Amino acid sequence: MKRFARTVPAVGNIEFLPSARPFSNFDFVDKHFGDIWPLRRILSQVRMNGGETIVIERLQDAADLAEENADLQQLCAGYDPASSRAWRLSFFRGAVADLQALRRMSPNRFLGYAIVKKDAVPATPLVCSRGRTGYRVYESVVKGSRHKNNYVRGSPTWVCCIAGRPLSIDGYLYAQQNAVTNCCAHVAVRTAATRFMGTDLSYRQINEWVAEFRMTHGIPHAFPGAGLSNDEICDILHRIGANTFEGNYTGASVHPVPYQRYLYGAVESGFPAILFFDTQQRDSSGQTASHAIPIFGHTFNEDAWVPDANLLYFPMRQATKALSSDTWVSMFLGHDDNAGSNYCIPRHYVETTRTCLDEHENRVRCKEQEGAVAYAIGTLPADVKVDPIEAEAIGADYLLAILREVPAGFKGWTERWQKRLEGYHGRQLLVLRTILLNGLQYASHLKAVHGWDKKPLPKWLPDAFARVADDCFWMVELSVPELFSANRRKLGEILIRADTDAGTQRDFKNFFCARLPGCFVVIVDGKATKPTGAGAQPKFLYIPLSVVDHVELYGCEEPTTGC
Amino acid sequence: MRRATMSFEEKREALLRTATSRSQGQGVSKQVPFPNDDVPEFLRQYRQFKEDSRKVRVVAR
Repeated sequence: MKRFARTVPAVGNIEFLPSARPFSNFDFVDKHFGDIWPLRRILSQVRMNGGETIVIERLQDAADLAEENADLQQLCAGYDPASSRAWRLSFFRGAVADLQALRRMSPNRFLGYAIVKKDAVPATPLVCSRGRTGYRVYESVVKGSRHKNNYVRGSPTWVCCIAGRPLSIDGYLYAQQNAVTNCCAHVAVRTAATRFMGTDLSYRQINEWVAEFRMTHGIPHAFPGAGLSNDEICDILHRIGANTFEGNYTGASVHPVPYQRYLYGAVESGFPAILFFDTQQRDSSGQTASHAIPIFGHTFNEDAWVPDANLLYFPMRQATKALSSDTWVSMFLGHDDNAGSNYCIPRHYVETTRTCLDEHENRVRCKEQEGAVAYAIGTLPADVKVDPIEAEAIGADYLLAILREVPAGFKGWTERWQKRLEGYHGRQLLVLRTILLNGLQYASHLKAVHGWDKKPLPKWLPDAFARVADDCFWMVELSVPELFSANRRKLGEILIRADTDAGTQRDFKNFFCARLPGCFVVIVDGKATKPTGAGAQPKFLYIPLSVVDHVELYGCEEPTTGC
Repeated sequence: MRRATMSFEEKREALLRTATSRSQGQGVSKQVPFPNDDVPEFLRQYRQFKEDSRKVRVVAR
């Protein structure tokens, strides 16, 4: 087994440093680790989580660090691996005075760790012209924000060994580039890849795959610190078992979906995304460089103004004519290797490229061009062939048509909800939320939910999903703004097959079932349905259900507090 | 002997049979019209956008 820096035994004395006030994180970083900026951010998060002890261990025999040192030496012949130093800083809530206290303490007091590495890379033509000497955070995982409206799903678990005691921490791994054997794109893809691998991905492995990719595609090879392209990143993600869906925002064309939908579509189901944006910094040739950061969560603001503003001032042009649940997202959660971990990134802080007309009516790049979003990559499991943007459009198309045609006088369908839903639909205020799940998870959800009057769904309904326990679906949930944001409840949902390419035809082959207030809906003549567009009239069977109003959203089932 | 894995269409038909039997004759079947091509057209545009996106090369460093 590889000896990772997070698990390898320490050498020399282990220091137990009390870090409660009046201990100064600023003084600590200045005294021991120069002006390493991301470490200040990490220590701030530890402080916010009640950290009062730092355990400092010196590392010597970690295989992952030795591998990086060997690769540095290969690119910079003057680099001396023996001069490299590394420390493991571990953070704990409350006082931990010594080894005995560490062995006795509750494991939930462990707040995370950071591996800090010091290297002296000499000036090397073409690779590192000025040389680099200093500290950097090789990797870190710290406990996420204490705020209740931050949502991070699918976090990997990292097992560490602190002063001989195994401890684990959940979170997306943060790392800082060294600009020689890796760059921001390497650390972004490392963060994303670990979601699918259940273990770490080394920079050497990334670079070997990139070299193969460039050879296959006839792309001139450059040293790793010079950057990775979007297609190289996607190739790495495909190799580790992920699927990707990508959007290019560098051009001046009209984009069919905003880049935020790529990020949200992935992270809402627990899969990370990577965002590229141009910065206002230029390299020696005057070219602007893109920067890449991993995104893995979002906030939820139940008082968002956006849904009403959409109705009143900014009419939508979406094909679905409904609100996506990302309307209530005000921030994405992600790392920035240059700045630190677990930042909130306002969804409109970086915008897409735009063009303006100059005085001669020529299309020119606006000033806002710099600092604009360049590219977005969403990730999904490899066997998911429909992306969340497609799934939401298809699900809305089917579900809203089924909703419009609930048979008159149908038992279970109440006039009050019919009128309300018609009203919301007419004003384009229905809310859609798209989640990836399997049949077993859907059955468990149906078993757990209750109507507003606390009535459960009939038992036969979840039982009917035993045959599709392992099948993968996109569930598009249907709600209205007040129910969705305040009560975390919904009026129905539709299940769309996720493991087969949906194509662009409206052929109903991916429809599985739908549920609305008071009715469950299945397709009657699915096998005979031919690809059709406008004018299609498939036949559906509406079956009465006892729950005639709204139930909890997926993940918000009472009495759990997942929402 | 283990039963062969059902296709998606077979699973959908099985769900229809279960739902029909549980409806106790109260189910109502109805043809549902899809009067426009908005979503298929969006899917075509979106798919083209994704394909075009894969043709560009953006380097991050």
